[in-house]
Amino acid sequence: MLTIEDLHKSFGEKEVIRGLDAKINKGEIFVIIGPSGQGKSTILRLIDLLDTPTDGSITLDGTEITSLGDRDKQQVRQRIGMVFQDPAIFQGSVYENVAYGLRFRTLPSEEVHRRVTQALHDVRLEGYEKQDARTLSGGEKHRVAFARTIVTQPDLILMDEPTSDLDPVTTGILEDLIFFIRDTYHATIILSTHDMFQGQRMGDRIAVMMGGTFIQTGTPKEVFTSPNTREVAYFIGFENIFDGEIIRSEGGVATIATGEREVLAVSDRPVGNKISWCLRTEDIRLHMSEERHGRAPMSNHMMGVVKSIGMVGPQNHVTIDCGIDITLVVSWRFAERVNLHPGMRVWVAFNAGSIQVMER
Amino acid sequence: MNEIIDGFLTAIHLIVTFDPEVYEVAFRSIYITFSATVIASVISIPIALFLAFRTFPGKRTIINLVHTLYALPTVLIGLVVFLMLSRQGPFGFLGLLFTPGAMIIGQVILIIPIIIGLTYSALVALDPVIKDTIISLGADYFQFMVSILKEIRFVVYATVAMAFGRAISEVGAAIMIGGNIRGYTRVLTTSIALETSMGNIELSMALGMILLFIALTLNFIMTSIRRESD
Repeated sequence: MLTIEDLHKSFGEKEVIRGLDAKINKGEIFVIIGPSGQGKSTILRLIDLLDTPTDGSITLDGTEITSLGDRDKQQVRQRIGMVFQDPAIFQGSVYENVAYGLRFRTLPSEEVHRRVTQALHDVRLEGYEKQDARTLSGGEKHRVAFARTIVTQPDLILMDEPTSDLDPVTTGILEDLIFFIRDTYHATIILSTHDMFQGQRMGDRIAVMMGGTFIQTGTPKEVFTSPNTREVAYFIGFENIFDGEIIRSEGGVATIATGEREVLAVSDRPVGNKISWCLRTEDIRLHMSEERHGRAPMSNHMMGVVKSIGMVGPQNHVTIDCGIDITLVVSWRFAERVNLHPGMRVWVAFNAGSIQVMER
Repeated sequence: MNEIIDGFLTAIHLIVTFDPEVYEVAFRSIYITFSATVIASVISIPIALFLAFRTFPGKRTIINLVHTLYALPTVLIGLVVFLMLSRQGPFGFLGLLFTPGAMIIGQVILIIPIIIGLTYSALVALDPVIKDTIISLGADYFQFMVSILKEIRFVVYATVAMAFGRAISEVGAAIMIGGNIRGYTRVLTTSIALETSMGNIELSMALGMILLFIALTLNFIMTSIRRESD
């Protein structure tokens, strides 16, 4: 469907897109996640031909589109729909707003009416046809933007952080709508978001964008369980990220030295490899005494002292000084029951298979 | 004081009895200014679009020049057009001097910078997402321009109304290049100037009231447009 090769884009001295490669398959929801300012909007604008790349190519169904003439670019844009982060609402009624793109295609008025009516039905805005679009709520304006995009029946829909400034309920409605659009209109969707969990929920595949390029692409499971760099791990929510060096390796199990600590990890990297490793808080078990936990093979056990306890939602995040600071999650109830407090001696355990080893 | 009150009452009488001289001058004023406004709009709006959406060397200078020309003295316009259209001037062969056509040319020159400048300002102030959305929806160049103008239409209407007001109230150039010829190039402003100097206060006041009525109507139109756009 869409292939991007070695794409670069500079604005003056600043290079925003740096050698980006990607292949997006027909009919998939491809989610670009990443912090603000990493080039997510720029890549969508380049695909929609609103900006011209400094170098590289974008190929849509076999045709390189960035070097086309104005007339051909306009034809390509008619195959692409874009929903902007802050949707533009034109002066006029909801009906006129949704019909806008169809007017450019000079369709017969009966066809315009049929498609607009269907699109308004799909986004659940029936009955709003005559209302001044500027008087709608934020969520309704987003739905108008969705309707305006799907009404032209594009092959490819680009969505630039379409729910970034909406409440969770409206976000949920729009996410359902995005799935509906994909299933009903069979469009390929590229969606950018800084909400990693939205990326996880929505994406058939996810690309993590940092520093103007995709530093990891894969299914949500691949990306969220096996980040390939320290930066990705940090962005997708790993709280325990460390640097280390592999000092022993045997049978696919590596011993990693981090400071004065040694941990076992499932990895076939060679001895001497300088790496980063990370561990999810929910993969760590907490014990109040050394005797109470069983010593499974290939598991890591450490004694430490509670350094701090912080409340996050219904849970406590507990940081334990084990020579390295390990953060884990316990429920409020558990923390109260065992009278967890700073300075308390505890034991932590985690399996070697829970550790993700990454390039440093 | 009595003279002013008498003049006022006579002026009212001239208006309500549809005095031919008063209405002939008024309609000529409206005809000349309306023509000038239409011509200036047709010239200025595409120039404003070009300035707003094209990049070229000297663009900033042109925009500064346009803004400077807002305050162009009307007598200077009158002088330049007079020199251009006079028998010895480069366009003297057209025989336009002291005709309504010459007055239209003068008013066009007067209001072109206003329409270009205000339309340009509205275009560059327009939310960039609006422009991107129009392009993204697949508009060609012409559809893009029309759509953009549609979005700023209320500003354009107000600008054109303001330009009309500026042109119809102008007197310096009208006298110099129109000649204030009775029944031919005499308009509201030139007529008021002449009749006042001749002591025909009643007629001047009647013409002045019509001019004021036109100004109030324009103001009403602009206020309505502003309310609509809000």
